[in-house]
Amino acid sequence: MSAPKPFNTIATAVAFSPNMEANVSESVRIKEMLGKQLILIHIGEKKEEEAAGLEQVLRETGCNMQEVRVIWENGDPVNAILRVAEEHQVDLLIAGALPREGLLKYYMGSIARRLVRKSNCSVLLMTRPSKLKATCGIVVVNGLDHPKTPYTVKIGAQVAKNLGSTEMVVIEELDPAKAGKNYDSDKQLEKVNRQRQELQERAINRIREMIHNLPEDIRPPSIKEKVIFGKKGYTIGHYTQTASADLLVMNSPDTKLGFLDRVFTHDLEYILSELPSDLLIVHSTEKTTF
Amino acid sequence: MKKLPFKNIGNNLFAGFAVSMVALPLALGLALASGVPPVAGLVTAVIGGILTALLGGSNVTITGPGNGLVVVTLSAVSILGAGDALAGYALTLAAIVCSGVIILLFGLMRFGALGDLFPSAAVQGLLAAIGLIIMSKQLHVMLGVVNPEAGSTVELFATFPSSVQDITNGEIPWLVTSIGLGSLVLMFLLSASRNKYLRLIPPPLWVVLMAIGLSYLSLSSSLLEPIQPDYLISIPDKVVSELGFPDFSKITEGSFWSVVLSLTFIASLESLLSIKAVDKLDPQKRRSDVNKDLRALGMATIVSGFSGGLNVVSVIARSSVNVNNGATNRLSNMFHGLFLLLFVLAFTRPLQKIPLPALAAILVYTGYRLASPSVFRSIAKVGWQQLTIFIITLLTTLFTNLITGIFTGILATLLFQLRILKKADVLLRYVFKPNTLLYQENDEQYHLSVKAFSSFLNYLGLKKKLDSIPPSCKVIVDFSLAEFVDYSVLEHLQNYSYSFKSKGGDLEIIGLDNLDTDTDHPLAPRIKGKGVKGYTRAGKTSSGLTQRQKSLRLFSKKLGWEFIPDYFYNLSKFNGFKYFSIRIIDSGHNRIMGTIGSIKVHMADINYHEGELNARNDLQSTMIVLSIPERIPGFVLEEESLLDKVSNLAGFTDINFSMHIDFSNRFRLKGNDEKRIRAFFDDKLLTFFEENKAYRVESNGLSLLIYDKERLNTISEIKQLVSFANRLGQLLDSRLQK
Repeated sequence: MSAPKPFNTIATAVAFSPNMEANVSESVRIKEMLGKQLILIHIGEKKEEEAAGLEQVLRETGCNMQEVRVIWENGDPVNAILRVAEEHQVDLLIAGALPREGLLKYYMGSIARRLVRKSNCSVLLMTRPSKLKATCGIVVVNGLDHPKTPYTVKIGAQVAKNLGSTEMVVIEELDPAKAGKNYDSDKQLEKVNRQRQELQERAINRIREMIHNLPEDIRPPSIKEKVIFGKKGYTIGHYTQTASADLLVMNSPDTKLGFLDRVFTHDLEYILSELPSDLLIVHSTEKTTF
Repeated sequence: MKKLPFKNIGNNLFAGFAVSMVALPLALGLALASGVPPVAGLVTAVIGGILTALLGGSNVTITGPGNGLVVVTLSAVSILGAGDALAGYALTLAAIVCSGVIILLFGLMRFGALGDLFPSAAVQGLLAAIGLIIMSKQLHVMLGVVNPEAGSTVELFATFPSSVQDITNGEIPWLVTSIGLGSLVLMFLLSASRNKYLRLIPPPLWVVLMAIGLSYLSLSSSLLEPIQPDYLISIPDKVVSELGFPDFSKITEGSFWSVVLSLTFIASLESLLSIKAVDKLDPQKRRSDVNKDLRALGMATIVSGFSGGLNVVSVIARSSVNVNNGATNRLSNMFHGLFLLLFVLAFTRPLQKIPLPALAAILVYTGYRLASPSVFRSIAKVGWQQLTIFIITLLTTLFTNLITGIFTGILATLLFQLRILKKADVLLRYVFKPNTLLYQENDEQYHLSVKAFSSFLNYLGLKKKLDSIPPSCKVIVDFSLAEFVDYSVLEHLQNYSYSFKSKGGDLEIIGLDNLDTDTDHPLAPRIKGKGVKGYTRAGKTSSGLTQRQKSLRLFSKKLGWEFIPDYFYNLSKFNGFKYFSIRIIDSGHNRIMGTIGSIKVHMADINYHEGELNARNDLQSTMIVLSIPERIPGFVLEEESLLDKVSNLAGFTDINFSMHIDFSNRFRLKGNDEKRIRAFFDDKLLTFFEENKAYRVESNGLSLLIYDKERLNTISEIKQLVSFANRLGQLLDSRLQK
């Protein structure tokens, strides 16, 4: 039984380069698994021979040509992509990202980062080489106590299911200071740990309820929940790395990330600066659906 | 003020008494070496002991004047006093009060963890330098040159030959010099001795008692030339009259605050290092609250400064004595202070007769322990980089001062790490970024993953995570995502591993195997992707075996048992015995393993130690463990000595058997469950013990530990030991079969 696809229109930018063929076929593959339509945004003047070449590559992927469109755009790539996304109600943008951004790029802003900051739809950042295969292993989803989270978990589950993932782990990061910062003595340590246990149970119950509410047809084979005390935004990335997960699914940031967010790293910034795996940032289009 | 624990008053009274006997000469000597009146040292110990105990210091640590402070205080007195010792003393007292306030603030702001921020090799270099600085001056005093002219450490060492010349020229009474040299010899001999009776009185007290005796003798006997007052300690008849009061007139000057800074830094560092080390020695394995300790030490220092005393710090050597004498809580620290007060008031006259060279000899020995060749050897084993950092710190400290020394050490460590990491950005990027992930795998087990690099720079993050884990749980520290792990971190982890194990938990390190190292020391720094240079292990090949090892191999072959000469670090078999509750096992080698029926036999040369840091005493012993497949009662059996007979009179329990008078007389048997012990020691077993050489046999409920001496056994001794264990094993095995 195949689950309903989480996205309608998927868009990605292509350019003529030795990698183009690989990029296009990968995008087509993701479209087959996660969405109904694919828009390839070509940045640059439309040239007949290039258009023909692109069509050739598309045919070779064996995809349904009715579901794929090529749009030619000029100008700044980010603005062009965002314009197309707006016009065609794209709900997922795919962008490539370096696994770890260089020191210079880190402060100047790469295309991927600008897309994440400015777009009004979900963004899938692919690392090279991408790990997203037809059957992927573990999918990690954030389980923050936040109104956006239930939707993110739902999309995460749907993606995991469609990718044939074996396991989905919902991670809640709790601030260790919440249970008290002082554990200098054994007695205080005991108290802090009791408090942590309580907080952990509360968080687990909340996540379980969220998981329980997921429709049956989008549930991946195994769903686990984990509560970790640690720095928000950093911890989930580190966990993704230790668990060698293939995809991390996160809420979209509440505020648009600016330059200051990079100097004072927080939440998403930790992950963006060092992608632990492919990253899907889910933009909530609906309020809690269940 | 915390309620004092009025438990085990007897034990703690005794321990406090034992410590006060060590503390008396040390307090006088340390004060003298610091350039302040000797009574100031006693004031520090009395106030330190009583106040810190009242204010809630940690369990078995002893507080008083410290070694490290000697160096800072001495230079403070000369800098602030500008030549006038008395003015310098009063001004230094003001600096001490201020440093007390800062230490108190450190405690309130919970800065205790910052003590772990310094790279291990640099700290060790600093301590060794302190040892050398103390020695440099006291060597002169010991020979009878009580006021050496030279100022700096280097000059002091350089002018040592001229002091020796003074003696040969006859400028110094020969009695004075011989007391100094004799005291030093006595310190070394007595400290190395494991004789029960000699150890009843601690070495420093032996030295002081003998020196006082000679001093009186020289005054009354016509054979000896009386020792001149110049060579005797100066304690006024009215003890408190020499004490100063802080003079705050230089509080606006920079030099004053640099003294305060040095005092604060060294006092905190010495205290934090000692507290952690003492925690390892605590038989009950309690964890000290370092911040509470800092608060108590800060307040005690303020009061001490106002009363004319020095900085109050936690000290390791006296704490080790405390633990070895059965202390269980803070009361012993308080009693140590009270006893000192009593000594000073009651024995003022005899104390006035202590020759300075005797005290100097005690200090030379103390300094030697801090900078002995074994300190150099142990750091060299970790690798040449650590040795270089150690030596850089040591030399900088000798030629400049403690603060410059430690910061040079930190800088050297940093440069070394940058050099071997090559990629500076990894280091830079993760210094201020989190790099640890801790999560609970199940109720009993935690996983702690460390990414990028782990060194003294970002150790506090790791420490914070480790401290939040209940010590009864198992932790897996995973370095598989790390590219570099330094010596300081591995050393801290070794300590954590020990404290987890002693509380029923465990700490296991994984992921280091993919990282390379250039020595085979277990704590040598690990780095990813460097070629393994010179990685040869000693003793692997049979040709590398020593004569003793070859005999052991032959011997075990005859028994049909297995012999493995390699070092091993998983010593769980040897843990859990009472003997090791205040001693720490480091490693074992020369294992022999076999079985007697259903009983498993493990024999090994065990390396372990008593005391920590400069009070550390390394020991080796050949021991056998018999693992019994059935629960047995816990007990300790050893040959009864004269001492035990005395303590038996005092009401300590010795389980005796009316039918076996020989056994009852020869052995002391102790244990909680007397009924089960009586059942376990049946007729056959008692006869067996009566007929054989008296080994120490200890049961932890699951296995028996059999050993003889606190040193390695010779082959013939091993044969006897094994034969004893073999027959005991057969006896127990035949009982199991029934």
